[in-house]
Amino acid sequence: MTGADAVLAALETDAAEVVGAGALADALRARLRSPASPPAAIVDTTGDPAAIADALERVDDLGTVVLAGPAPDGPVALDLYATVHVRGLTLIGVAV
Amino acid sequence: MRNYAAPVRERAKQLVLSGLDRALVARGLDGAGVALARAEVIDGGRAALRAARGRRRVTGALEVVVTRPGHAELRPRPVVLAGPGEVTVELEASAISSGTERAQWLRLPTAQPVLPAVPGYAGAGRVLAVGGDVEGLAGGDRVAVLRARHASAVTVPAAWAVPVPAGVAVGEAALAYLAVIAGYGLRRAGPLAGLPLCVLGAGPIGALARRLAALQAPSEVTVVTRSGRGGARALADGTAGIGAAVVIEATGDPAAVAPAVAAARDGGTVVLLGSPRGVTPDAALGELQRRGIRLVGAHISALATEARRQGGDPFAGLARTYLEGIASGRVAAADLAGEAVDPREIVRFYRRLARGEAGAAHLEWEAIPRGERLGLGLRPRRRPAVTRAVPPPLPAGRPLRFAVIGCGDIGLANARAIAAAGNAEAVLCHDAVPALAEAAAEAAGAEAVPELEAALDARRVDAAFLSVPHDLHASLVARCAAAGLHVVVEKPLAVDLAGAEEAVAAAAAAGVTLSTCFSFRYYDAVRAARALADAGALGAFSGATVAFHADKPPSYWMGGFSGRAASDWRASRARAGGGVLIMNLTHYVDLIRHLTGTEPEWVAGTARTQPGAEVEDAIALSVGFTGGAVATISGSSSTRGAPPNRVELWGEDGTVRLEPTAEAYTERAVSGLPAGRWTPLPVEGVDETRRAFVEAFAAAVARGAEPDVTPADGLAVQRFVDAAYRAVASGDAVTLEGVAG
Repeated sequence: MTGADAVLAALETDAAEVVGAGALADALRARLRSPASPPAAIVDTTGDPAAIADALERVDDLGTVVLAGPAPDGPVALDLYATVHVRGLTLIGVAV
Repeated sequence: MRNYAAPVRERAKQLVLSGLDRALVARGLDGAGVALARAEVIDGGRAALRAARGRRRVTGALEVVVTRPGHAELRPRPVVLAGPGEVTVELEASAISSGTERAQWLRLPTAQPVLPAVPGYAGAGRVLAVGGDVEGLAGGDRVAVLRARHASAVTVPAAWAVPVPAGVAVGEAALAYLAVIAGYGLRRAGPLAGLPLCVLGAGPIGALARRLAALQAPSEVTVVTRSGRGGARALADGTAGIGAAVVIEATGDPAAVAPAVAAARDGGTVVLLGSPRGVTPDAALGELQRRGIRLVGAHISALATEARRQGGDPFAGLARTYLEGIASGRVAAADLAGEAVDPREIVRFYRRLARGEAGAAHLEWEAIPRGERLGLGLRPRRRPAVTRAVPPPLPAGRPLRFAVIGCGDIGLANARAIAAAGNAEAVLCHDAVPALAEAAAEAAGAEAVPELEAALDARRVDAAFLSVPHDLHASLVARCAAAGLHVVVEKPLAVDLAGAEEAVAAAAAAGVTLSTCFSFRYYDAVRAARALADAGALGAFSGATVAFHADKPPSYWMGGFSGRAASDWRASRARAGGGVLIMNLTHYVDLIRHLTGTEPEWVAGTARTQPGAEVEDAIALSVGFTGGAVATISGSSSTRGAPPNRVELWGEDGTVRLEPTAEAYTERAVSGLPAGRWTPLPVEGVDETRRAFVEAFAAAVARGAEPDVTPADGLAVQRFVDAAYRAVASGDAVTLEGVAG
């Protein structure tokens, strides 16, 4: 299973915004439709905490953010209360 | 085309509000008082408007209002009865969200509602009124209300009122909204049957989640708490290896997210059910990613979003699952309903909650009589009822006949008080200055006698009222007792403790009744304060402040305030025993003892004596009482301008202020005194207090009972005075137990 396959298996939609550049991002963009605005799903392929925080801000209520970039080594501080908790988001980790 | 309406409307609103604020400030309100009054005016106006538009009736209810940091009280508010799509519920209980309300009470950084604010989120009760188009609900039905602030009645959308099946206690029903929150968390997790579950946190949400999850029969349940008590796993022991398919994070602690993720098995789901207010220091992103874990948010507002998008009524559905679980015995929640708190004692409860001494609880609105929590005309009573201590009538026979000994300023007042008493009579008046005796006799309808011996004639009088220089008290009490007369001594009992002990011994030996005229006990405000203290309004005595201010002119020291009786005894330490302490503050020492039932244990202080004077002009004392209360008692005879005195006593649950205004405050549910607000106490003039003292004394003599102010009371105050003067002289604290006459 490719990284793109793993991400698509975790997503429950075929429409998502893809953040980042590179082979995985290209492969995902090729297989996913563009989402409505605000997006119901965002796939992050950067692993950058700032990009992840931005995705959590922009994704629609009850939406999904998939972590598909390089896994951070150390702790990452995020406001999960205002994003994941209050807005009912789902944050999915996918090892790619 | 520009829209001019909105800015004009906003400007008009600001003008009205600023005008309202100015009017409120002009009425003497400030800060929080203005904000509260403004909110109530606006609330009342809106209610009136809604009632008028919908032609609906209005009733009154009480609600808990946090008016300023650290203060809450019950305030009346109008409730417009149910219109279309609505239901009005008379709440029997409102659930307390211990974590949230504690955070708000402490005003933690993430929980600072704009004040005034009405806390609370859900309740249960009986339907009072139903909108015309509402089906399935009728007056008297028991319902859980999914959104309700702490109030005795609320009007809510009918969808928020869920019928309560038989067998569910009102405290349990009030938890339905919490159960909706917990149930939503489980729903976000997905099916649980046959899967290992882990719940972090054992608060109400965590406990409900675990108990509702049991309905789905998970394969095992691991509970993790900070303490690890009650069979739970301690958070400090780590959560890695628990291997749960579903982890419910219900602590609300942002730092618990990483342990929650660690508790999940690879590919598992972690539900953020507790509100992790603040930034999560470690969102465990690496773990989520390496182990393919889902982190799902489950705030109740997300359920509202779901309901808006998908339709239906998921709230009521989740509430019904809980309520039916309770009714069938498959879900238990009595312990989560917790203690029933009288809403009038909300501040006391919040304080306990803040100290960690309280947990699960709900407000029990039925603790308040229905007429006081529901209906039109709910207004705080301006003054509590006072039960006046009217002495019983004397048995058939004559009133208690008094000889008035000493007819200076206070002697004249006492003669008049005796004459005014319903069960006493001033018969003889004596003074070393015949003119003073004659004046008192004329005022009291008595006979002036020039010889003391003649005034103590037991054939003509039953009692003597001594209003003479302090150094004469003890010997005169002995003479009166020897003559077989009951004795009242104008305070203090004697010039010093030794004299007081002699007086008490003489009266006891003769079998006569002895009392000290601490007339302050008979002020209506003091009577009311005593009744409130006896009813528990103050709680355990914590402290008192007495600041007495007089501006005695130089002539006072030569003849009292009026100058009627020329004498310099007040300036003599040997004759008066002291200055402002023994002359004035003794009243307040007696009051503190009288109102609190405690005794001074130690005293320390300092005093100021003017050059050439013998008695102190000013004194400042620190006093410790039995039970640990502390008081500051100070007085001055030369306070320029004589500002108002200040007399306040407080306990763990309330405060009474006797001067400069008479008012009381309590956080306990006490009949006649609204909790959480200052309420005026009745005030009566000084002449009435002396009359009341005489009547009570005469009644006690007639009954053969102890007087209100016993010899032991007089001795206790005298012992305090001696100890205080010793403390001032030595510069050390003096323990009263070691003070002998």
